Amino acid sequence: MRLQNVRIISTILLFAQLRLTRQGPRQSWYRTYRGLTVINAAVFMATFALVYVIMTQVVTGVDLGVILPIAVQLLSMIPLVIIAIVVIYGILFVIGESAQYTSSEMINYMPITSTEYVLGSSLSTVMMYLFILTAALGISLGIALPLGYLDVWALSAVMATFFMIVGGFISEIIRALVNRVSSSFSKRGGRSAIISRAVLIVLVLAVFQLLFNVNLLYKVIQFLAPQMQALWFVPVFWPSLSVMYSVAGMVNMAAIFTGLTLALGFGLMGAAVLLRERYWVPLPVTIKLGTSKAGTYQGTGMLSRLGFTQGEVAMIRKDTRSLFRRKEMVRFLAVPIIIMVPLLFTIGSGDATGDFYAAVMICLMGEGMFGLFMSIISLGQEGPAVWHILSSPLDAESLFRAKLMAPLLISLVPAVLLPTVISVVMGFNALYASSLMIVGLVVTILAVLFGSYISPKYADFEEKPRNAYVRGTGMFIGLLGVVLISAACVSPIVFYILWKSLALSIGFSKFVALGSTVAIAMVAAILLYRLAKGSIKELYKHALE
Amino acid sequence: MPKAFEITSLVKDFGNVKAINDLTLSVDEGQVFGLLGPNGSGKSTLMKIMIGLVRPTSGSVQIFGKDPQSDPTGVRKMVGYVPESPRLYDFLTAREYLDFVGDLYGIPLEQKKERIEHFLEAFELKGREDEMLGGFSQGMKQKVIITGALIHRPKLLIMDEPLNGLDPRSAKIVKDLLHKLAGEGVTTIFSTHVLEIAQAICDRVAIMYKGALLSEGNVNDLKKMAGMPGSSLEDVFLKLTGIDDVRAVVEELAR
Ligand SMILES: Nc1ncnc2c1ncn2[C@@H]1O[C@H](COP(=O)(O)OP(=O)(O)OP(=O)(O)O)[C@@H](O)[C@H]1O
Ligand SMILES: [Mg+2]
Repeated sequence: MRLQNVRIISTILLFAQLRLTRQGPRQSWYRTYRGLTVINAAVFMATFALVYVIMTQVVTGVDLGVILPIAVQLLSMIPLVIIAIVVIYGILFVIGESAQYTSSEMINYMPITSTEYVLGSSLSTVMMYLFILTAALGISLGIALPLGYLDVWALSAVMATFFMIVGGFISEIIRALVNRVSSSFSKRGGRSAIISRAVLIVLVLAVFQLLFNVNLLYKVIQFLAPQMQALWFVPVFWPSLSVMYSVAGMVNMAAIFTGLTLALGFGLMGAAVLLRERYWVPLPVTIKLGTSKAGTYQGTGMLSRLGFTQGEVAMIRKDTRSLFRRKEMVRFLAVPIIIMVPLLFTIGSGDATGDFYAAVMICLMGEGMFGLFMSIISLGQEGPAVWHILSSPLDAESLFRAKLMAPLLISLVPAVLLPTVISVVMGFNALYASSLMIVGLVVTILAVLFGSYISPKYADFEEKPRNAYVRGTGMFIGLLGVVLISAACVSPIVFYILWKSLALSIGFSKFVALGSTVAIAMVAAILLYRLAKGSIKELYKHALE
Repeated sequence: MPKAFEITSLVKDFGNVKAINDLTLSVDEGQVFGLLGPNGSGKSTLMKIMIGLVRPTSGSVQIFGKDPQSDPTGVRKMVGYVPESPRLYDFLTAREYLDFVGDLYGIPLEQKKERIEHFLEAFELKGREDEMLGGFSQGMKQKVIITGALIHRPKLLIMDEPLNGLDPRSAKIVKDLLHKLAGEGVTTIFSTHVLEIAQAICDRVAIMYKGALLSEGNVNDLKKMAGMPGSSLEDVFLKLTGIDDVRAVVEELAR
């Protein structure tokens, strides 16, 4: 293994992520190693200063005996939180690479070993998201310093840093496994292979997400074992245990778990290298579709009877195919699903009203996120093939209709299925079931509209090792917007509940509440529709530079 | 003779790079027009401006009397475009892709079907049409792109190095097809670095250099203009673009 190669690979992958922007390659001060160092140092200092001030100025009066155990738990949990976040980023980005890009990627024909690649790629992931680590370390130092836990903090920091790299290894493992799933299906061929591949990739991602889900891990700690020590056999807890034992002054145990953590890290690295060697196919064989439907051309379908033109229908059809056939698109189906699955376990408390509100939350989050994802990538997914649209006789109006309809049609499927399944399983009454359905439909439509507004504005057509389709800012604004929109829409219902709990004499019926929700939603929908249309027209204007 | 397109005093700046520098050019309907010029001389940029993919800095472009800036869809309906190093939708099969393109141009089902089948046949893609384009070779993809540019029977073809990667048989088909279409009144403007192709099929050629036209006319005119009537187009090209002394460069590279 040559460290030189590792450095080169991680630099190339890092700069590819940092510098390829919508306006083409961009070079500015923060897109360099020095810039990253400055940013990370600033993040560390800022978070530290903030927490330190709070700890020393604001919470001085609180009993130390209360704070100490919480602080220790926090410090010990940091490696866990870090690895969970990196794995989620791994799921999002590592598997998002486009097949076309990787096949012509230099790395595949240059003399580079798997070990060098795995190390380099993991390091680039770490560098890219280093600000998460520096923020966590800044916060924890702010807590540790006033309490005199500097040594504990140091150990926790080392463990967290190490675990961040391990998170990179796990991302590589996921990537190799997804690749394996992909290539085994492409050998089989046929239309069913495409769907099975999508389903299996979602499953692989769901399993990894569950394994490293902070929320779930925390529940496990709380319910299965109030003492984390009882879970010594679970590897992800090893760094936390080593921190806790060192706090307790049990040097031997701390050393054992530190050793185990290191062993785990190197073991995972070995696994990542092995899996890459075995399963990495730089040039995947494309799935052969069966010729059973040979000779079929698309005529006018149901959509054209609804008033869509031939070109618009073709566009909608293409985008639907794109979603299931491209490996790098599957993650957008996967992420809402794997985030929702752990939450589904939270309903079923027995109290019908409580279950109903939990179900509403799940529908809001799940369907909102799904609708947003489907629409926010609608333009960026064109990638370098976007010239088709820009040189075709499709005008902005038509493109807007097609790019709105495709995600809407796709999101309506879970928008109908999810509330139905929940209502049937939970045995909700008609009012609850229909309310759930309405809330879901409303949030789906609004999320799709909002995503369609963001998509052209923040489209990312660049092909990089890890395709994004939408710029980070766009995704952030999108998620925030959907949260706000959902909140606005359910506010009358929340208000209704509050009102009822106050037991005032002036009536405020639930129909008024539901009616207000629908009214707010309609105003929002009209507004967003206008905005979204304008945003595509803008794209048409600015694409021609 | 009516003009297929007229370009007047066209300028395009990319920052401080002058990609097109005060270019004026018009081409009659039914001509095959070849665009030659060294790398970076502005050929692709000119074609992108013609289809409305790039906004000119100044000057005017008229395609059959329409301006690609103010009426892009009007222009695009009449034009078939083959970009340089095009990216296709790799997740569609060849048939699905052509079907998609046909729909974008609003071709009725029966015609679409018939034309696609013809091209698949002619380009020897029959039997492979239900495979996804991601698995196609470079030349196979190029054939699909060319088909996509032709199925709506455009009046003007704008092709950026269209014969790139084609085998001799397919290149011959495309060349003959352009010739035949010219007979039916279809105008073609295409760029190429292969001078024999230009010599063989073009009614007129133009040599671009640093965003401007060095000279323009039929091949014999060019030779006369360069004062070297007996020599090949390659020699004329090298002389006009001022890079005739390649020997020294080669000597240097081979050291
Ligand atoms: N999007 C762009 N941004 C900046 N500069 C550009 C852009 N597109 C083209 N250029 C510049 O414009 C000039 C002309 O480029 P163009 O692609 O038109 O050349 P060309 O004649 O097609 O060359 P080739 O034979 O290599 O295809 C070049 O100097 C190029 O760098
Ligand atoms: Mg070019």
